[in-house]
This record gives sequence, C-alpha cells and structure tokens, in this order.
Amino acid sequence: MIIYLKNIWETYATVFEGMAITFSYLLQRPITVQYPDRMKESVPETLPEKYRGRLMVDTELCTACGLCAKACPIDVIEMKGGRAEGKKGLRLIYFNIYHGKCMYCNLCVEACPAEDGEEDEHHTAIYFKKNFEGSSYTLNGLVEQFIPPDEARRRLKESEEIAAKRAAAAAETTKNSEAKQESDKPKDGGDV
Amino acid sequence: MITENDLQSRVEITPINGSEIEINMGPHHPSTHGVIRFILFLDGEIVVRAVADVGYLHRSIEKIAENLPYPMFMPYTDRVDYVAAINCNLGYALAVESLAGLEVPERATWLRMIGAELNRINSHLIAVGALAMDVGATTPFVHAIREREYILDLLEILTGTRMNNNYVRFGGVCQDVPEDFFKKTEKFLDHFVLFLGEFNRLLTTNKIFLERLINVGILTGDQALGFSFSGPNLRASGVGHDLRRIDPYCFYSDMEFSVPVGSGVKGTTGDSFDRFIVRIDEMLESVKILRQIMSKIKEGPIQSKIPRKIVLPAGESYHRSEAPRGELGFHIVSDGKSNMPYRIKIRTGSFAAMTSLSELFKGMMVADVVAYFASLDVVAPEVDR
Ligand code: SF4
Ligand code: SF4
Repeated sequence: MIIYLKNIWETYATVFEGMAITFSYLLQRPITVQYPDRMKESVPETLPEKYRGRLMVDTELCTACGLCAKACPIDVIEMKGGRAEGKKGLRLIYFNIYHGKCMYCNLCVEACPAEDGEEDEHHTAIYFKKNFEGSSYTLNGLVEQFIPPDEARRRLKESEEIAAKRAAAAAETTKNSEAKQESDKPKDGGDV
Repeated sequence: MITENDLQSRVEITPINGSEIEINMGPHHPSTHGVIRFILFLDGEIVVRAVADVGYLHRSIEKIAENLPYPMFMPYTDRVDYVAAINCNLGYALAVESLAGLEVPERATWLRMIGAELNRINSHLIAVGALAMDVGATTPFVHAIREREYILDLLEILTGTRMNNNYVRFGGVCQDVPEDFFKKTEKFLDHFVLFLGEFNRLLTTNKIFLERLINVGILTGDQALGFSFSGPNLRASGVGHDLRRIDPYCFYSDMEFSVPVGSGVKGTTGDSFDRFIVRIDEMLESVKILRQIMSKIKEGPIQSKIPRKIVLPAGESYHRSEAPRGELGFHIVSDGKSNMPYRIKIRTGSFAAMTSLSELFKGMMVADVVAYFASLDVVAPEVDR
C-alpha cells in the first residue's frame, strides 16, 4: 500500500517537474524564427564562409580542363571545351550543372585548378554560392546552363571550324613530310 | 525483402491457431526510424514470434564502391549513417590510409576528432529524443532536436554543410576552421552541460518514462556479445568495450575519458533504461573529450600530400572505429592494380542490433517491442547500406 502511494506520489512529482520546465519556456522568447519573410537579415548572409550552397561556375575563369567533371562521382557536371579564335588554350563550349543530382560534396571544387587571385571572396572557377534556395517546379528547371544554348552552338561551330582548319593544316604538313620522307606512316592530326 | 517463401523457411511456421494473429509493423511506422518492417505473430498483446525484415533502404553502397576510385567513394560513406556522417567518413579514411600508408597532419587529426565527437553528441541526442518520443513523450524530442540544431550550426562552420558533411579526406580534412569556431564550440559545450541537467529533470527522472524502460528487453553481457553487439548497446549490458579505448585511433589514447557501462541503476543490467542512460553519460564524456581537444589543438597544415591516384597494395584489411551505433568496420579488398577497390564490406552496429530482435521480441508486449527497439537506436540506412 505504501509502495503504491509512493509510486503515485513519484509520478505526480516528476510529471509536474517536467511540466514546470515546459512552462518556463512559455515565459521565454521563442527560439524559432519565421522563415523567410520575418527574418531580420537574409539567411545567406548569416551563413559561414565556406557554406556549400548552390554550385556556380565562373565561365571567365574556367580553363575547361574538365577535372571537376571527372572528380564528380555522379556526373552532375556536363561540360565541353574547345578552341576559340584569338585565345590560347581551351574555352568552354557548354557547361551544365544538374543541381537536382548534386550532393554538395565539394569534390569538384577541390579538383579545380583555376583560382582567382583576389584576396576577399577568393574562389576557384567552380564554387559554391551561399544561396541555397533553388527549388523548381520542373526537373529541367534544376539544370543550369552557364553558357546559353545559342552561344554554346556558336562556340561549338567556331571550335569545329578551327579544328577542321587545323586538321587540314596538319594534313598538309603530313603530306609535305610524307613527300619529303616518302614514308607512308599515317599521322593523326587535329585536335578538339 | 521477405517473400512468402522466405518467411516459411525462416520461421517455424505452425499453422496459425485461432488466438494468434499476424501483423505487419512497418515498413512505414513512426517508431521504426526509417523503413524497417517487423512481422509480429501475436497472441493477444504478447508477441509469440517475430521476424525482422530488412532491405527496404538498400542502396547498394558497397557495390557502388567497386566502381568508384577511392576518393570518390567518400561522399557515399556519409550515407551509411547520415546521423553520424563524419564518423563514417573517418572510419573509411582510416581504413584506406592505414593500407596506403598515408600520413595525416596533427591539426587534421584534431579536427577530425572534433567532427566525430560533435557528431556523436548529435547522434545520441537523436537516439534519446527518439526513444522518448517512441514511448510517448514528445516534448523531450523537441528539446533534443533544438540542441542538435546548435551542433548542426557548428558543423556548418566546420564542414560547410549541416548533414552528410563529407568532411574527411585521405591525408587530412577538406577545410580549416576559423578561430571563432572554437569559442563558439566552447560556449555550446557550457550550454550543453546545463541542457543535459534540464533534460534529465525533464525526462530521465520521469516516473512514467522509467516504468516504460526499466526491466524491458534485458540483454545480459553474454547475450549481447552473442548477437555481436557493439558500441553503447554492448556497454549497456555491462561490457566495457570501447574501441576508442581498446584499439585507439587518432589521438584517443591521449584523451582522458571514462567508458560508461550499464550497471542496472534502476532495474537490471542491460535493460532498455541502461541503454538510454549510457548514451546520456556518453554525451558528457564527449563533452570532456571535446574540451581536451580544444585545449590541445594547434595551428598547422590540414592536408598532407597524397598521390593523385591511390592504388592500394593487393590484399585485404579490416579497420574498425567507434561510431555512435557501435563498431563501424571497413573491410577493403584490393587487387593491387586498379584505383578502385575490389570489394568493400561495411560492418555497422545497427545491423547487429537487428539480429537480436526475433529472439528478444518473443514474449514481449507490443508496447515493449517499441520501447526495446527504440532503445537500440537503429537507423535504417545503416542496417541496409
Ligand atoms: S558537389 Fe559533388 S556531386 Fe555536386 S557536382 Fe561537385 S562533385 Fe558532383
Ligand atoms: S575544374 Fe575548374 S577550370 Fe577545370 S573545367 Fe572545372 S570549373 Fe573549369
């Protein structure tokens, strides 16, 4: 009987203790905030420096080396580089990021060798923005084309022309050298 | 997933007599923490037989590993246990590093340990909160989740993401932290110790909560070892087995911390309450470890030079580390030629915990089934991988 009463007493005592704690929260300021319209400052500004938000590429900086695409485990990055008139090295033809697939793992960013030398906001050619709001109603909306399709088509054509020119030039030299050496070794010329 | 035929072969099916009914608990049940299914054969409210059905969350992570170079598999280890991602990263990194013979700079090791211990607290908060919710107390869960949110903020500074951090790299970590991170962590730890006091007043002393857990699902030390339990579940049964102590990795051998073991404070050793209280105690130990790390960490490089293409020597090796849900082991087989593993087998604590269910559920009430299962702190992705 005494144990029975003691149990009841203990139950009430501990339950009320818990209630007291819960009640004390009623008198405190709520820790929840209303997102997004009642925030004092925009959320991306409060995020730490290295926050992995949406993936971005700086098309000017990018050397189209393709290392990021190779480093990505799930083929999020679809890119192609090609020659351009009056530019040494490669230029981007297209660079698409499938945000819906990306798992924000940072491997591509670490692989990228192209960096801008600026002191503040220093970043590699492919980098994470702090912005994380990227929802879309369609799956295609999650594919971001950093080179617009028209421009990409133009660049592709240009690079193909250059490649064809070079191939022709290379063929010429091969012919010449063939003529000189009279060897019939086929040589592969031209590169894209 | 279990087909009808499997079921027949696995359970000694006696024709269900009039008083016995078969019910499915899950795959989508609020108390199963992910998609896990039990098939319970009930006599009234007592479980006569039970089958645990796993495989609903199978993502063939081990198979994916065979088709990816070693560094590219790192983000997938996050998904082995998403509640304690850095612990899984660390386990994998240690396994490969020990095989490839890679050096890790001192600061990187400290940072890894900070990540792992923060993740451990984070994971145990989920464990105790979800246990409370499963036995009917919603408020403590909200409190635990609130604290976890502070940890996620810290992890955000440390790694750049809140979950699935992909923080550890071979030979280091992916990024350094700003100096104010340590101040913030210090502040959080002070606050967290106070919070645990409040949490104990709110939940741990609550008579109703105690009654739901005490003497429910008792596992003796031998039994727990027999089910190959590890981690907090094994320690709750009175076996002081902690890999940070027994087989130290990183700098855990320099750390001063005690290994909490279950002693049947309220009921019998190895009951559900022991599993709960061991986790609470472990969070306090993690706080201690974090404070020591913070006093010892120094400036320095965070990444050593690693070869561009990692090829492990032919052979196999097993490396284990202490994750919040028990021993996390990576068994790596390499053919010595390619930069991808021949086979990776991941051993997780949750899977071992699942093996005990058919045995322990026998003779339990349905309500106790929920309490016992919640006290094991099983997360479904770790079971299936
Ligand atoms: S963050 Fe990871 S998943 Fe996303 S594009 Fe980069 S490498 Fe691929
Ligand atoms: S790794 Fe960097 S430079 Fe190379 S293609 Fe990717 S974004 Fe461009």
